[in-house]
Amino acid sequence: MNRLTSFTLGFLTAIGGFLDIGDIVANSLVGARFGMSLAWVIPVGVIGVCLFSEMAGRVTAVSGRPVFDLVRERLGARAGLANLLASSAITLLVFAAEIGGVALALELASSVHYLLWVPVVGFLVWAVIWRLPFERMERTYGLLGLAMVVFAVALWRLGPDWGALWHDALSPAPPSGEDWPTWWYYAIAVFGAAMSPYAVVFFSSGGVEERWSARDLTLQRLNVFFGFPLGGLLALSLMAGAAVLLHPAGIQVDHLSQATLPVVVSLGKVGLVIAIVGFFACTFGAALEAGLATGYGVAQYFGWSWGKSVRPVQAARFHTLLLATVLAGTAIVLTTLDPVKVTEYAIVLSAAALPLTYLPIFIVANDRGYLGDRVNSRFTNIVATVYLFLVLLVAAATLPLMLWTKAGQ
Amino acid sequence: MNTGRGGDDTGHGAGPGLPRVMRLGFAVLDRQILDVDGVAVGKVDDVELSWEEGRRPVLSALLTDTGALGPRLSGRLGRTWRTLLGRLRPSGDLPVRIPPDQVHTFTPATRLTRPAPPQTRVVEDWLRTHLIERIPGGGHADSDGQ
Amino acid sequence: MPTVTASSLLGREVVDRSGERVGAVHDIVVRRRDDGGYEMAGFVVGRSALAGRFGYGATLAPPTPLHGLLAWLRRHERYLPWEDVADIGEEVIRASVASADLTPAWRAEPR
Repeated sequence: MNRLTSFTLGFLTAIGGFLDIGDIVANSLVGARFGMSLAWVIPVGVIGVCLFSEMAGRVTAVSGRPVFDLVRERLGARAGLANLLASSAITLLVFAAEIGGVALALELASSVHYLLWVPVVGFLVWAVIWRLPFERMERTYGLLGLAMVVFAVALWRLGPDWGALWHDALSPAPPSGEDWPTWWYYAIAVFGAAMSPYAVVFFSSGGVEERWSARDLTLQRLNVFFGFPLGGLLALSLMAGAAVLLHPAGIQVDHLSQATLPVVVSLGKVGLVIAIVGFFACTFGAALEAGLATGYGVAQYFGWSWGKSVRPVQAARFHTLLLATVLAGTAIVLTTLDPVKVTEYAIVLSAAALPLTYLPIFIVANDRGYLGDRVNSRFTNIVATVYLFLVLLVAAATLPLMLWTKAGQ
Repeated sequence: MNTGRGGDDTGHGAGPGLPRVMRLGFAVLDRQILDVDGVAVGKVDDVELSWEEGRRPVLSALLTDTGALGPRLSGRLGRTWRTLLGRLRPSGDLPVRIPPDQVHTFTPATRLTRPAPPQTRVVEDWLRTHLIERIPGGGHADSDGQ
Repeated sequence: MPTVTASSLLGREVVDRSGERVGAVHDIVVRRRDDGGYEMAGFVVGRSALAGRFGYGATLAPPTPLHGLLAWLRRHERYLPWEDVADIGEEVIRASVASADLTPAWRAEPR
């Protein structure tokens, strides 16, 4: 494959792969409830995820080691284990949410109740992890995820008053009838959805699976710095669509079908079909990523052999763990917990757990033992430090806000 | 402060990638161990030092496996527990020992000059023969996708 | 032959000749001998486990905006060479010199 094709593919994958059930739920829900007043959180989150993904990608490309392999090295056995347990628990919750999301997308398409789809989805996720080669797996769902562009088209077709949208986005305050704590709580949800820490674990482990080397660095950076912001634009159009259509009508998003309304209204049935394909691809792809991320994290803590690029018989512990993860995730959804609620909790808790992933990345990205003269530049360090303080602040504020607002009710 | 490349070393001696002076906690402990074929063995869960009376302690082994990790997780209580366990059943949950002369390099990962010690593969082997091997397709590599 | 694990030494209290607390063991410095084996050279002793554990002071350079903070956290860091160790006890390691005589530089170790 020549470099241009490879770049285009990677780039499109980055756009399509950016969105997951968390982004879909958080942005639609927030747009419907708060209009565009929380739109500013998306660029803040996207810059953060670009910054730290680039660092993680650089560490992986130069040292050939994924980031979570290095967490224990820097934090030690005990703090490393505490970090692992917290991250795995949250990633498992995200995984369950994604499985629920896939099942909901299938319900939209088939009118068969989503709970009946859950075991099927669980099996499919496992089968893809078991058999489909890594690169093809990532590409397929990333490219199919581009179907989410339909939300940008729908927004444009709705012909909103762009000036008013822009004005709303520039007035960051809760709309009438909403209070500040709830507004901040949902700001954290949008932030957590954009920064999704499991994606960084997946991203850097995936780099090892695809055998990145220092030569791939430029390509990788382009993907991150252009692909993710474009993915962020899709997130923004989800929010704007909901803000234009659902917010004035007072419709709340508590089911995935309401998130498709902007598309249905402006593009009809065809739009709905494309949106469902997009939902399916995004959530299925993210389920694979979150499931694998759990396996990667644990295997890398204990130093087991791991990965999809080795034969399963050579990574027996890793694959056993993946099997257990898929079973556990499926079981969580089968408890009939509302998948949309599970998603909300998953993204808010992800936001609280951000320092667990991002602090070690930051430390290692400054280690000359790994990176030689490719360590963080001064500029990167300054911006990253600002972000570290921000994620620490978010982590400290999350639980109090969750209790105070009764999880945003 | 050292800002040169190549691990935690401050000038190489005779060995290939072995530093003259290093910090155990930084450069050895909790690092990934890879065997001579690049297969993951485990982490350096602990480091053993031993000495003859009146002499300096020397690095006598890298320890890996749960037998070494367990005690570290619970701190002081874990050490007491291990002393007890050691008295009760001397051959109990012993860590796998890797002598330092089998180490090719310490940083960024600990590379060995030999294949992985068989004891590190007990769980892996059990899971393989009892579970993973029995699922269709377990023997297929994924790298056809490369 | 008596043995000890690195993890059991890490975190152990260190006091100086007069019993005054120097800090806790953050790291163990070893030095390669001519026969290829590694022997104990000394202990890195400090009071802020946070900065100590991350390994700043080895190949890890503190990132620009945090230079000052990390230097401040590591202000109590001292190097205790093996020659100056009087006794390694179960709970406490005693130095044979006064804490004021210890320097921060473990890298001054002769090579």
